[in-house]
Amino acid sequence: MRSRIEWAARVVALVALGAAWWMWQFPPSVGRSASNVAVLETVSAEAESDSVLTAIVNTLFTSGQSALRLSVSSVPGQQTRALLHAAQDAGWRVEWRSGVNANFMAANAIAVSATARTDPDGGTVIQVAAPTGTALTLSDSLGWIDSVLVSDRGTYWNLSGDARAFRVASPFAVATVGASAQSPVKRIRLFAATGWESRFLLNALEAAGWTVDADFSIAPRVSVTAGSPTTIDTARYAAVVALDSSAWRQAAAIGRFVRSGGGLVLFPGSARGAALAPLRAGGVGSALAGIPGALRSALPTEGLAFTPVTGLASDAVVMARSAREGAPVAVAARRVGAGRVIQIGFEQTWEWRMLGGDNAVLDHRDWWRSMLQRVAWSSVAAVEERWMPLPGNAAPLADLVARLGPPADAYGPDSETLANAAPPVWLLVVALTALLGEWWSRRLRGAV
Amino acid sequence: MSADRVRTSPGDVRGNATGALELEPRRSPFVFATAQYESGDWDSAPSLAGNIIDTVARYTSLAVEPQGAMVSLSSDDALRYPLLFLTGHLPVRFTSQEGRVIQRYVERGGLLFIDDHNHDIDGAFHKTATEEIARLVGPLQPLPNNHVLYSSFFTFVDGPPTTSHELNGWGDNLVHEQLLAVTRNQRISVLYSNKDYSSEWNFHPDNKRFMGVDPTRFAVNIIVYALTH
Amino acid sequence: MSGATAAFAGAAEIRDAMARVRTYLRDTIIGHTLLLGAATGVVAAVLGHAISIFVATALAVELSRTQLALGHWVLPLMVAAAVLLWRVFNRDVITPVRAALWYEERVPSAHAVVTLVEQSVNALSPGVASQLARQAAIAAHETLPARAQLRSARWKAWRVPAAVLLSAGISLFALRSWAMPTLQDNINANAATSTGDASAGASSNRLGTWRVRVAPPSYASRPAQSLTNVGSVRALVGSRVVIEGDGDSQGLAATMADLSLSVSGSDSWQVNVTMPNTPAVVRVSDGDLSRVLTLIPQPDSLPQVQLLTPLRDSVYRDTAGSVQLSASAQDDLGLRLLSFEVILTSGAGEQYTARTITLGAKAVNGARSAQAVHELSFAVLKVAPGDVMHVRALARDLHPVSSREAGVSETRSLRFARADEYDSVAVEAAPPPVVDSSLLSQRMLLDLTEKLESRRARIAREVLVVESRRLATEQARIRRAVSAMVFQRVTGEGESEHVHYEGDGHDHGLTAQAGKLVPGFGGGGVSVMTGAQATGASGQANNNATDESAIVAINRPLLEAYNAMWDAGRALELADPREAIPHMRLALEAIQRARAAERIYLRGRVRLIVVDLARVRLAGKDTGQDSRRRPGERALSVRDVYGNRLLRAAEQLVIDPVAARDSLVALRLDALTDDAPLSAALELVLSALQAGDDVTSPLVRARRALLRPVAGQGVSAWSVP
Repeated sequence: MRSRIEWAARVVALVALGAAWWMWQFPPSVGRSASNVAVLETVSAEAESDSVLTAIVNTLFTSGQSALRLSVSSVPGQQTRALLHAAQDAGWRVEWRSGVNANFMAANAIAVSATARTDPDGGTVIQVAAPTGTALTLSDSLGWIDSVLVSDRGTYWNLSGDARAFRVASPFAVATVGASAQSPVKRIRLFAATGWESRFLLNALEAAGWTVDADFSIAPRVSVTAGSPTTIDTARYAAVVALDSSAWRQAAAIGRFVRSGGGLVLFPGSARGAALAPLRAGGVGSALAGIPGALRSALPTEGLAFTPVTGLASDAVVMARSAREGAPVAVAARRVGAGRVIQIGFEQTWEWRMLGGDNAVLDHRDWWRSMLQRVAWSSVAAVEERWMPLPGNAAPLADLVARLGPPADAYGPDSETLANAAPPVWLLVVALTALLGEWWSRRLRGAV
Repeated sequence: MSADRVRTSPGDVRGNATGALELEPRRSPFVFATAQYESGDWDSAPSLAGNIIDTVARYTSLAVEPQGAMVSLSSDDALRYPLLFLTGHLPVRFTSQEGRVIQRYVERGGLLFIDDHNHDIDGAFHKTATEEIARLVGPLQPLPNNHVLYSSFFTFVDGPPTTSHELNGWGDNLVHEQLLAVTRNQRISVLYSNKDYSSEWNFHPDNKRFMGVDPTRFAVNIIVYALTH
Repeated sequence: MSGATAAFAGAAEIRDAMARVRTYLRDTIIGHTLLLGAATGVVAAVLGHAISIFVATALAVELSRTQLALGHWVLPLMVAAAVLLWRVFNRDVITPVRAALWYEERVPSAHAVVTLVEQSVNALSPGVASQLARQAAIAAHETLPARAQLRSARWKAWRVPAAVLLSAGISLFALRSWAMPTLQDNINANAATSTGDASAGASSNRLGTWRVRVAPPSYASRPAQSLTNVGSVRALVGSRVVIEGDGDSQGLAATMADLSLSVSGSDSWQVNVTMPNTPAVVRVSDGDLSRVLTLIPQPDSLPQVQLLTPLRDSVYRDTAGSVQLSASAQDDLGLRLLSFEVILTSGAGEQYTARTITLGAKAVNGARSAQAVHELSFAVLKVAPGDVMHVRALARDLHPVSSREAGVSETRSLRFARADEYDSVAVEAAPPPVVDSSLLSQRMLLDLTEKLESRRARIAREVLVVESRRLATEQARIRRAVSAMVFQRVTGEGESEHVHYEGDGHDHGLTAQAGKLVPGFGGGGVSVMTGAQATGASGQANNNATDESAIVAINRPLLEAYNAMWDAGRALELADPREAIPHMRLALEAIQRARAAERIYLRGRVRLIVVDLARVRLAGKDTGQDSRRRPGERALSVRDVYGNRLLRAAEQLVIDPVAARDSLVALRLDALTDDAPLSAALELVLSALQAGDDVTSPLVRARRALLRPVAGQGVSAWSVP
């Protein structure tokens, strides 16, 4: 009889330990707490499946709970967020808190934007704001494209090809974003004197797919006309490129064009005069010669004659700096009215094309292409600026907060959640008691 | 720098919107460059460069250097001159380095203008130069006489102007009706002439005053074409 | 003989007989084992084939090559090996006793044999032994060992597995001959040749397994190749490529680009094509089904030729003598001829004649490298002073086309100087003679003046004045010659010593001040040039260079000489040779500088005209016309175009695999020339498609090769960083 009791004690101990381990490893997904609150745990973005949504629906609509508390390990997916938002709007009390990461807010905040490049060849620029150290992967409907480890609070991708939808995933959140169609206007108005710079610029822009309108003066009352120069407005031109003082005569029209949304590219020769001064991003410094040999180096623009952009306007954004001493500003941009202006400090860029490295022709063209992409007017810009009530899936965490409010554990981890995660203590107590009883019984009967 | 010096190029002094005069920075002027090559007599027309520069200044307001440049085809410096003039009487055999520079020059958008100083279709210069160009860049094709080159500044209805050297029976005793060219992306990359402009234009520019028609006007077309196409 | 001895003798005989029986039986069992293993393997192979055919046809499941190989060969081999191993480890050892038992079973009267074989004879009693021996001997002599019996036993053992092996082999042959091509075709073409039309199954046999024979051009002396079921062929341009397949050619069509190729043959079809210069695709179609073969040409490189001697360009003083020409050449396939080409140009000015001579031709019979040496005698070519010789080496390879380009070396120029060029290599004599004559005259004049000065103390004043004025006249003559040259250069006018004045509309950068020529019009900053000022250092002569017109700058040494001559002449006029000598020395030095500056070398400086732009600007009588520029072409980004094509092909893989495969083949073909990484990645995609494997991974790789995403760090305040 005694030995049977001891056997029973051993079985009880083992069962209790097994149950404790099971509950620790596989905590119940839906539990009930006191006060009629359902607790839903471990909702993740990557694993947004029907089961999670079903669990939420069951919890809310079939179990008769009046409140739902979520414990999330990563930002829930778009559908989950929408469902919870709808439930909240319908009168349920929905509360969320982080299940694992005490620094949840900082670790999960990613936001993505996609901009269709204003370029005849299309392309998309994807910018991601993410915590430093986050591993991001970029993919689209056809699969994985690239991955990057964020080192400076964000990253960006410049992608060629047709505009499409992209997906950016971090370990804790997934954001999706689609690029809008680009502007149909593909004309550029060029103001330049006849010379190698204007000729090679014209070649580069035409090769890049732009249609360029320009008048090149050859002699008094004799000129060579490229394209069909006409009134400068955003219906006709995406941008104006002003290489030199040839643009000054049209300064007023250029100003109107920029303020109404057009793009403007200024060079030292055109930015120097007072005519275009109200539009420029900064002053024009003293001219410096190109660094010998740099045209064939990894920094070919350093080999060009260079006039730094100085005294930047208060709203100017530095786009590039020279590698020279003091890191003078090489390219700066600013917004003027609805338009954008970029001011470039380099001159005679054709020398890069002729004297640069093996890919100089393509590099020179791509450089010019990128300059225009930064300012060229896009007809869809206004559409993108429409009022959005919610951040959407481009910024999942912001969307979650906007929909459900801040997390309940914004100021620290939740003790109840943590307790739930640990194995139940009473099971351990039962197991220990059974083992002690078994041991005590055996000692009393003198068994070993 | 005095104001006189600045005025060497018309249009350097301009009025701005406020009516104040502003000095425009010096534009990078056009430099007429002659190509040196190892074989042959590249310097067979020493007065030509000055004459062409004179012509450019005489008919256009283009900024131009008063003195021509000579640049070796075996040096990357040749790429600093997107229009290069090459002439000679003797056989042309480019070295491998010259060949590489010519190929790069053409790929990047330069225009090489070659004139046969012999104006002899069976001459050593013609045979070797056309062979070399075909080997390096591609075969030369006749350039239509209605090409934009012939109307880029002066209008030459019948194509390339005839030279006195063709008419007086020098060389092959032929009047060549067309120039030859290699084109890339609808642009002339190599322009080849059997007309012997090297002889026709090789005189001191001041002698133009004795001429009824300036024979160098076609050079303006070539330069304007190169600068705008 | 005792009974034991007789028994021993009988036992030994029995044992020997039993050993022979045992050996025969062992061989029988080994043969049986092998037959059993082979039969089992072939049966397994037949089953494997049958199952795969059933799965592929009845269940319409696509099987990969790997799966097929597993079912058809690997598993049967494993089964056969297992049977063999089982037999080896579980064989019943053929012992003498077992042999005796086997024998006894067939000859019951020989029961003593087993005892004799089993027992040691010595252990038996002599009586028993002799009785046994007798009995055994009788039995043995009567029936042992019956060869027919043994043969019968072997036949019995072998017939079943042999029959199974034979029938299974026939079945396997039949399956592979008739049923398998259908399946193989489906596998080879994978999704590509299958359009889901079941009726196409029969005709698809013809495209299923094809053989490609590649015969390089005969001159290449390379062996022909035979390939089976390949998707692409890489071969020398001009190679004959024959695509062969089983079946009638009726209804088959073949195309390459827009060219239609003929398909011939009755039992087996074949398509003949010559490897083109550029990559191309041969498409063989059978109704709705098609299969493609990518032709990737390997060009026959031109020979590489080096001219070893002469090593560099040279100028020869003498037209007698000779020069050794030597060259080496290499070719990828073989050389035919190595020779030297000499272009000898004679003449000057506008009259040139040229002769092209081929020398030292050396036949090379297909060797991949060769050297040639030739002694070039100038006399043989009748070289004359002033001639220019261009020498290069040419090599022709074995390519039979007559218009085939030759490989050429660098060219060396050998020039033969004229007699008047012996002091230098000058070719343009135009400017130097004038300066040279002035130089000589000036030097003579200086000598005469110095002599006069040295005699000054000994001669009368009148004599001094007469001789000094005579020298002054000479000095004036030289001065005028110099001025003529300066004016000729600056203005193109021949007359000397005429000057212009500010505002006369005829400015050539020179003005007259106190009889001297001064650069520019009398600006405040222009100092009057005197010999004394220029004496200090020649470098100071250009102190005012920034203030003078460029046209004057290059003539400055002659201007200095002119002005120094002016001073010298004035002193001589005043009969003061001592005063004149420094000026004359200065003039001589200036002329020497001018001469050095003006000497025109073959590969040196040439005389350049500096145009006075301000003077001629817009002075032309003619005016040009406006013109319109023709727009330049858009340079399509190959990367973008390929990217879009790859995307479309990838999307099509699910919808229309045939079209997708064709698109990928075409894309790979285009990428061969301008995007090698993409081409390599696409080859992996096509290989995976061909093998029926998952193409996701190679597609991702191909896409990355195209997209080349550019990533940057940081967040920009601008929409496009």
